[in-house]
Amino acid sequence: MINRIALFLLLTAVPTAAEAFCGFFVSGADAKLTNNASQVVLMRKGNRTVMTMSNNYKGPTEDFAMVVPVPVVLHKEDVKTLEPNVFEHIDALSAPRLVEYWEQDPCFQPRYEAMKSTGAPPRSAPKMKRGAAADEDFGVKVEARFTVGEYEIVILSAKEANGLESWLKFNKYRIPDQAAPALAPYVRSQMKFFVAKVNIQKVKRDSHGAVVLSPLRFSFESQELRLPVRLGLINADGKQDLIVYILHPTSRFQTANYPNVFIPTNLEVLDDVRKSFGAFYAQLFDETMAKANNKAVVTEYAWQTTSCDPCPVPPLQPSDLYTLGNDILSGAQAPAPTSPQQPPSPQRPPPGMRPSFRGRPGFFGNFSPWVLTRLHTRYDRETLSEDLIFQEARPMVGGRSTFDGTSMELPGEVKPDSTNNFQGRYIIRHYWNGPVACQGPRYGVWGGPPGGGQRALQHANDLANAPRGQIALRRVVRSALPQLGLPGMAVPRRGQK
Amino acid sequence: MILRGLVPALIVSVVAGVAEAARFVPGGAATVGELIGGRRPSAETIRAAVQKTSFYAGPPIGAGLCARCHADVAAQWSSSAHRFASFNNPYYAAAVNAFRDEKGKRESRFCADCHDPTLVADGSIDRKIDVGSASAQAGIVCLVCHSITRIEDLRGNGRFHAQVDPVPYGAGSGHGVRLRPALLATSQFCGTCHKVGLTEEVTGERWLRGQNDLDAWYDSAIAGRGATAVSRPDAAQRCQDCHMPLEPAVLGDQAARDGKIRSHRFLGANTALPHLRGDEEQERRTAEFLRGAVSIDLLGAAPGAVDVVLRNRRVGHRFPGGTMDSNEVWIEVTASDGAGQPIAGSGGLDGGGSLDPAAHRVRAQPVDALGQPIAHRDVQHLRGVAFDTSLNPADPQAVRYRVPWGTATVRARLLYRKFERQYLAFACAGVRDALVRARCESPPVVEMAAAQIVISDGETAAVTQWERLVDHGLALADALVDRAGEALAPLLRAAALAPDRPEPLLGLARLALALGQTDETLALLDRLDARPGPGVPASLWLRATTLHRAYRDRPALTAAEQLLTRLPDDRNALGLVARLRGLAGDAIGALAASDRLLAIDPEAEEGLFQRMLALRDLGRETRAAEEIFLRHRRPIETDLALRRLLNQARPALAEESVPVHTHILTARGERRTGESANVR
Repeated sequence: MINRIALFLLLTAVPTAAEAFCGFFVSGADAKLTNNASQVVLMRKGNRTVMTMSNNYKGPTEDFAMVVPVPVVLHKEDVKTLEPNVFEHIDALSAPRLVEYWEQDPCFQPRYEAMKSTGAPPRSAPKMKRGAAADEDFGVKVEARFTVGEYEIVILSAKEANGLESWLKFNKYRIPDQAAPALAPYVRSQMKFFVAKVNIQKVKRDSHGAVVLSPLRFSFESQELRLPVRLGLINADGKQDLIVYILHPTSRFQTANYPNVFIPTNLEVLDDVRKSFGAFYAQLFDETMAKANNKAVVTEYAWQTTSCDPCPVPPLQPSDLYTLGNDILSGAQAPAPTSPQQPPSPQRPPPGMRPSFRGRPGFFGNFSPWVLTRLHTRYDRETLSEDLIFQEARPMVGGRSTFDGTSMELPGEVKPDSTNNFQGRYIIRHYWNGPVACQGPRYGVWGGPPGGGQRALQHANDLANAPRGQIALRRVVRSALPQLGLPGMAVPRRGQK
Repeated sequence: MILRGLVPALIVSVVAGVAEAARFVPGGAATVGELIGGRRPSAETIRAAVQKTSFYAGPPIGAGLCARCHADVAAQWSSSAHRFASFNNPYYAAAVNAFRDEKGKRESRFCADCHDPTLVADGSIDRKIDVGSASAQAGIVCLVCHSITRIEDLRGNGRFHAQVDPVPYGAGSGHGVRLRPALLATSQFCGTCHKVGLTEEVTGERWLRGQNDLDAWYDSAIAGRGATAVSRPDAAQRCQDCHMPLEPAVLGDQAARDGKIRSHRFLGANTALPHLRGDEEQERRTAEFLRGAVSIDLLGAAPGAVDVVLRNRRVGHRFPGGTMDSNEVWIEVTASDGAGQPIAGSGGLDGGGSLDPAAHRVRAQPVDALGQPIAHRDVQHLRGVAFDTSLNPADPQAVRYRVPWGTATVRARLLYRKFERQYLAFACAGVRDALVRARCESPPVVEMAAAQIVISDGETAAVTQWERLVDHGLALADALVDRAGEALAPLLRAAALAPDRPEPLLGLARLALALGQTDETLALLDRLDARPGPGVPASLWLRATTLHRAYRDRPALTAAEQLLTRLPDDRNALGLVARLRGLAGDAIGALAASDRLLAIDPEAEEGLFQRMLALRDLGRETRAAEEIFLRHRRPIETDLALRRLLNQARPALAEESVPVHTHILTARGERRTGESANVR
């Protein structure tokens, strides 16, 4: 039997394994229910996976439900909801980042500054919520029922799962027309389902008005790491963005059955990109996908969880890993999540570790690292018709910088290495435009802005809603990038003697 | 039609909870007299032997009359595990006595229908048993098997009908008709006892699958089916072909044809029983029967690691078969330095004969409600299976071992011992005679296969035999899909070495399917099917499965129907066709395929499930179908929960459920290799 987990369907009003948007929405209204962005965290160890799903939703302002197919009947303790900021953190940590450097006075005599302890304090760990069983009797025996946050989770037993459609109709949910045939293969494969009913009054919305649902987490064993994205296409409104974060003790992951590409990285861009980094990155991403006939999965990040460089947010803490599933995978006592009332103690890099370079802090942890991979694709029915299957991949590096702000790899270069250090990194360089009053000026020394301090590090987020098609890359990318036909631009002339 | 009639009858009888049982007609003392009649030792002789050694092993009971004309058959049977199946077998007696104490005497018919037919025939099993009686020491006598005229159904559990009429003698008397109906030559005949379902009466909770050699054989290419098998034997074989091969009739057996008879030694894997009795010949033959049944190979894996590849070569069902939990089969690995000194290992035996807890075991591991291993064959406590590393008839398995720096040679042996230490201590405690008890507690360790590999400068020599590469590749392709890509290199090399063989291409197709690479899989299958000849069934299976996984169910059904035409009674093919017909909206066709599958195996989960869905699609009543499906549905959730409990209690076993997991060799100075004087 195929052991897989399907993405869920959304139902209004009245689904042995991992998926992006692995379910469907249903409601009692006739209105169209749509979803255009999904994020999934897959924490994998051996044959166990913990999957956390985050989705947005656009539809009528009345209660709806998500139906999530799973390979086995889940128990109440198998299903948890998490705080939405779980995804905010992992998104920010792994998102493509925009960095800025200022070229230092080429005639300056360098002096070595004392190294400072750096590292942002760890976030307080998101709390997992547990709910209490409700007392209502819908007239159908279910495995478990409990309420948490905006959800009422109903776990269907093997008996009810076989009559899923009947159960949904009994509970006055309208199933999308395409859902029944889409559900049929899952039902025939003996998939089980749980239903997460959403109380519309309790949901949060993002700046675009889309409902942001609390992430749902559940775990399962499976031979494969598979994401059945097909089910989620039922509610798709055009192209869907999918970001998959895979956490593994040792390895980077990529898809086994779709083309894999790396996002071009270590690209120098013009200062204008600062104002529209999201749009720039969306354009870069779209052109990278177009080069692969829009049928590819893009690796945007692959890095040990205990470090980052630069760090838009602190790296993942043990408590974050615990929240995302290490409580199950390690089987060990988890570190106590930090209480919001108790300020976390600042982290210092261990002695002897690589010091932070001037102007941009790094963070170097001291607990067992996992590898975080971020995969991103944008798809519709034409470009993605089969489930995504993931496999381990060799370590790669790219998008790194040295202490002095120069890039370790050439623009767009990705190469194998003994460890994973890959990220999407885009650089604004402010070339020296002051006087040059010495013999043998030393250019190419990069640091923070004149006068000290540092600019906030930007990362690309909410890419599903970024404006698209508005930026011509050849006008804003200084680096030459033959694979996308970017000729590059000359470095501006430095100051005057 | 037969099929329509059979399934409703099954539903009624199962739902009614009737404890179907072996039936002896006419039954009673007269029948027992017929079964154990004829020349037999005196009651005093039997009782004295039992008093001394706890079992009787002298001239057999129940074969005396037969032996007059069938001396070879009788002599062979007298050494067999079929003879020593009852209270003349201390390994069995200990477990069944514990079962009787806990569950009740009548309830022990679950065991006795097959193990103690002479006690069932007159109802003695329902009372306190006189273990010194002839009936208790007889075993499965000649006239038990040779009186079975009918198997009630294919659910096993000893549901046979034995018509124990008097045996006619003389030419033209109907002797052969009475004693050797055509049923005896079928594997289904053997399956009536070598297939077990643990009923609710046994477990006290729910139905669970027990040992099942019949269906494992049935599904195999050895049986002439095996839709999924990459390798296919030249000819199909029944149970009897392996376990009752033709043997010279040296004593002039009148049943011999061309000087040969069907062996009644019933050689399998039970080395403990002949060793217990000091039957060196039977012990030697059994060890010989085991040797080479499974092969072991060593190949280089990642730097610092080697893969042990096991493959079931000759066993027509899973290995180990029978009671997969109590057979102790394991891999012993020894890493030696350049001077030949052992530096690390796995799978040794300690001073007390207990196996290294971190050794890789080849077995199914049933557990109780607390996730603890079932250690005393106490099936009444079985609640799930935590892992299953037993070998099916077709597919190789790989186990990875990390070797320390400085390793120059790695040697691996596949070792077999009938019972593990804990069970031996339990079962043999009741053996009175000290010498016999010592033999009871020390069945031999049989080396089934061995292999060695040399590591030079961290590298192993390139493999040039395509079969070894295919086996390695297939085993790696069955790993977690995360890492299945490792299988590509050996399979590509095999394809290059043997371009005319189908096996490498099938292996590559299986790998591509595992990785979800639909187009690649289909392209490989197209290459395979372009060859002249009828094609291999596995190609159709892979094509149908690939298309189904890619949600292209119409073409998947076409391929599946073609497969069913090739293998009309293949259970996997029938299940897939039922599913795909249902998806295509052909509920009647789905029902027909399900019913055909259930006619072969009334407890087939996929058949019961698809049948239920088909009835629903047809708007018919489904309650009964749903109940029987839920009864036989494997409780995966329970298995997973119990596995977690076992892994917490025994971390050394935590990886056993992960295919192609890694064992780390334990560094040792002066190590015990596990080789003993008792190794055969």
